[in-house]
Amino acid sequence: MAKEMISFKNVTKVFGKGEAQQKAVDDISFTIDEGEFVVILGQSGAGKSTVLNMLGGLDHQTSGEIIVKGKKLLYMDDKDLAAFRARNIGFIFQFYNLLPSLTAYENVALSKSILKGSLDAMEMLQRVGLEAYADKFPSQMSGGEQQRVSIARALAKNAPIILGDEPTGALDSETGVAVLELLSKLNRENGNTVIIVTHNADIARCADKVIRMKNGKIKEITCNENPVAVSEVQW
Amino acid sequence: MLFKKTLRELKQNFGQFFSLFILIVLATSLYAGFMADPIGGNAARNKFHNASALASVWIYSENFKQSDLEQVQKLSYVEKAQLRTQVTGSAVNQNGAELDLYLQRDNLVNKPLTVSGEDFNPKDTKGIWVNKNFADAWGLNVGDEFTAEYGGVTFTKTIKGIVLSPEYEYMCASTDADTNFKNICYAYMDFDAFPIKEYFIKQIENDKLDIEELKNSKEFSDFSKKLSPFGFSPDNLDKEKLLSIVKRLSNKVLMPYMPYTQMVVRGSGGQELLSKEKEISGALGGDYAAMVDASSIVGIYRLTAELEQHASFSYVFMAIFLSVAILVIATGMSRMVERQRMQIGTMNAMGMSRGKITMHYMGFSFLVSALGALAGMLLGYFLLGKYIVSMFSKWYVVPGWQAGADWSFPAVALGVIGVCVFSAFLSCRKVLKIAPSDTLRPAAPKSGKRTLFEKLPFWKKLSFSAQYNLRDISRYKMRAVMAVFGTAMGMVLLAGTMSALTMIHDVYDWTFEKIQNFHYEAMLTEDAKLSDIEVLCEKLDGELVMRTGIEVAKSERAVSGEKSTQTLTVTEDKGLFRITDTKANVTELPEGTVALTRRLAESMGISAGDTIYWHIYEENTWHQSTVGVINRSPETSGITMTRADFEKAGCKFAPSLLATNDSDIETINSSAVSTVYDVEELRAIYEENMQIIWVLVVTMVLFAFAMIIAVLYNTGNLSFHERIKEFATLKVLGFSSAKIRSLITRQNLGLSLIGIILGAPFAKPMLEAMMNSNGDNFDYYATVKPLGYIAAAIIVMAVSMAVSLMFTKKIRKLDMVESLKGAE
Repeated sequence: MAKEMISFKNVTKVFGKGEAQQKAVDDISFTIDEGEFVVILGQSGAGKSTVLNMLGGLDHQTSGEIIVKGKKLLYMDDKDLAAFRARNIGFIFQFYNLLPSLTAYENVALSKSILKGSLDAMEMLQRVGLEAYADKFPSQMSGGEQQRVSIARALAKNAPIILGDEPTGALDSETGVAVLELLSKLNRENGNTVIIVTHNADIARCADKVIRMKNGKIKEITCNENPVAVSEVQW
Repeated sequence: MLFKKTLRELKQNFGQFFSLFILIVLATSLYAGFMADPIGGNAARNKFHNASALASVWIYSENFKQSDLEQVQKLSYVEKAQLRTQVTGSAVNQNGAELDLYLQRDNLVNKPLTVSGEDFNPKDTKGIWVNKNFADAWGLNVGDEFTAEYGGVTFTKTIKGIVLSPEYEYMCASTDADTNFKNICYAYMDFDAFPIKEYFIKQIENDKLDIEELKNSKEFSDFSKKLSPFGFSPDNLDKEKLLSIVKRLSNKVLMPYMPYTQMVVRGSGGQELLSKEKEISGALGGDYAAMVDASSIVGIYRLTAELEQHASFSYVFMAIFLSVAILVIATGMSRMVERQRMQIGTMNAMGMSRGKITMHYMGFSFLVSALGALAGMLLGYFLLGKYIVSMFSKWYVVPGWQAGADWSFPAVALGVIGVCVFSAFLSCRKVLKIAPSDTLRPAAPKSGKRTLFEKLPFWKKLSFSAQYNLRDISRYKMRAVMAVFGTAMGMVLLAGTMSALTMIHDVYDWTFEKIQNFHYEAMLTEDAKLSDIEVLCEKLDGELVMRTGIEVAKSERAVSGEKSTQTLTVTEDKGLFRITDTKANVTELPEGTVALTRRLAESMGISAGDTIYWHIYEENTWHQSTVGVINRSPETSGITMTRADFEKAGCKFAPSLLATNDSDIETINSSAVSTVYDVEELRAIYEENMQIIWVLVVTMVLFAFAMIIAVLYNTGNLSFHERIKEFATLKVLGFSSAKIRSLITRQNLGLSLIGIILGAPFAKPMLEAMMNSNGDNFDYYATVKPLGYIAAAIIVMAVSMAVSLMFTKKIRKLDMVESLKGAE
């Protein structure tokens, strides 16, 4: 039986104060097991990115309990959270968020400045098929290439959890599929727990678990007994 | 990796960081430049003073005795003490240059430092030791004959050594407005080598010796007792009898009647002794005229004040440039972190600690300020510092004076770096404090709320550019503050320093036209009979002036700390030598009163109508005077009174200068006159000596210029980048590049104008502080004339305009599509 990796219990997140208060996440609970490929699905404003941010230790919940790898994130201070992210979380963003003044190689190697045991940057670039782009700056690469560098950067830390915030959102279908294939491969071959936030329902077909959100609440959690291969996904 | 990011972004934001670099270079180079000479100067002086066993106190009296010296030497804290007599004569073969001659029997305290030849030997009756600068100016060498004149006695000695004395680090002849080494000399000689017999004869012949006063003196009473067995009686003593007696006596017999006028005392280990005046006074039985320390010796304190002034310049100028640099950091770094908000979020998301990210951004400031501080210190020391030393060592004489550096250099460099890094930290803190999840989202655009300007009644009548710029200023206040502050500081420096040039010219006029209302001045010989001088003066329709050192106090017989050493000027009130009021206008001295200089009056808390007490340095009698007017003199501090009032006070008028407009004085042959100066010559020398001020002013103008360029370029740069999207939009809408550039230009000009207006009132106080920081003796009438303000304002506006033009190319090449995309 797979080990529970992430647990959300009655988690609520409220933004703003007074009249401007807004519940981004409203009393949600779910669990994610180690090695699962999870898609959090929902339209804009559903609260999925907020969930991802809380899960990644970028934000604290207003109430409820979040446990990741047996640790309650709420009780961690800023320094501990940074260390937690460094060891456990690899982020992939919709707009790649590569540091524009660093080359592809340097963006990946940045992990070395964060975590001593991080993996070889060139090896990671090879894994995403971009070793030839090592000396290129983000502005010299396409969106798909930048996203692959971003995945290499997430891989370099050898983090058990990969969080993707609309990782294919800015890419065309073909490139998006390629990126998803990479993530899927990571999940299958490395056993990384991959959690992707997206509004693209097609992507959900290849996930082990799909958490559907609407207006900050979980509408449905479904498990795909037989997820489709990423190559079959199209949008 | 982050270091590579830092380096690349430094390159990408070159303009911004280079302007910061320039400001740090300016700040630190001014510090190092102005500190190099006091540090080096004070180190050299300490060495000089110790080697010469500089006195801790100088005690003046009409006549010190050996027993006085012995009493003082007994005091436990006295290391050594020595008696000497200082007389002011002239160097006969050197155009009658003013000569301070020291007659000594010992060489223990204030020992002259030998530059060439033999060390001073107070037992050598044939030799004389002359100061180096005078010897150099006249080509005198060891072995040459040197003829001196004092009290009508002319004597020739062989120069045995060329020396330097710490009491003469600064020197200026009493007739000169500034240093001219050809006109002032000091020399050391054996006390017993002085031709005392001839001296007494001349004194008697020229009626310089008051027979009645002599009869009543204790010394003469002892003398007459010795001669009474030979039928001598003081009752029937007259000039002729006295002359015949003196002619029959030997130098040896007469020598005891030559008074010691000074006692120089060195405290153990050079410790200060003025605080022990009461005890020393007790040892002397209170029988002395004045006791002062080095702070009252003009030859020493002038340089002390000058070095202190440079030190204060270094702090003030550094603070000005550093404060502008801080604003550049504040605006530049906050813009940078705001622009890199997503990058910060990404690094945070990757697990980079906030501390590390903060350090990364502080690193920009650290790197630039460290490089700037290093470059500034080196430039300041090697260029400005060495140049200042080379300029000032032309007038101040300290052996081994070189530009110096001490622990304060690295400390200040570290301080500057610390301040810059801390400013960067404060600027970044706001963004770095934002929750990591928020930094991953683009910042909300600045609110477009109504600004204060929009409440102006004429708001709607303003042009689009004006409205647009005013809204922009209120949205980016810090940038506006930086531009205003930077230009205000630039205005202060430009208007202040440029006015120093006009002020120097005003000081010439003030000195040589208002105060000295004459074309020629004649130095009078010591031995000249007053009656002869008066005849000459009348013939030339001139005015006699006497100048002497005095001590002034609010109470009679004040002790040290309650009195100050000043100059007494006695004039004949004939309108040639005049006094000027606090606004530098010629004024009259009410009869029966004295004029007191403004700064001295302020420090003493004295105003017109109050009473002051004073005594001539070498005389023990205190006098009381009423202050009739507060006057102002650029380079003399003290009191001025008329000859009539001076003589009424029982003092002996001994003029040293004859002022006249009659050119006959140049050809007149009178034994009473040693040298004649055309005031134009003195003015030329004065102007030449003021070259250093020109150099400093030009340096400061250049530095201010650089500061304004750095600040305005940075403002323009920030403004351009902060509004790049807006400009792109305007361009898309059809605005021409010229029109867009004019938005930046107008804003720069507008902010510069505000800076000019805000900075202008501080130009005068800065100039005053700058000019008067080198001692209480100076009281320059610092004014910034309208032309000064206008010239400074024009420069600031021109720089502002030129900086705006630098953005022409950037605006023309603005990529509308890329700029509107909005990605970092």
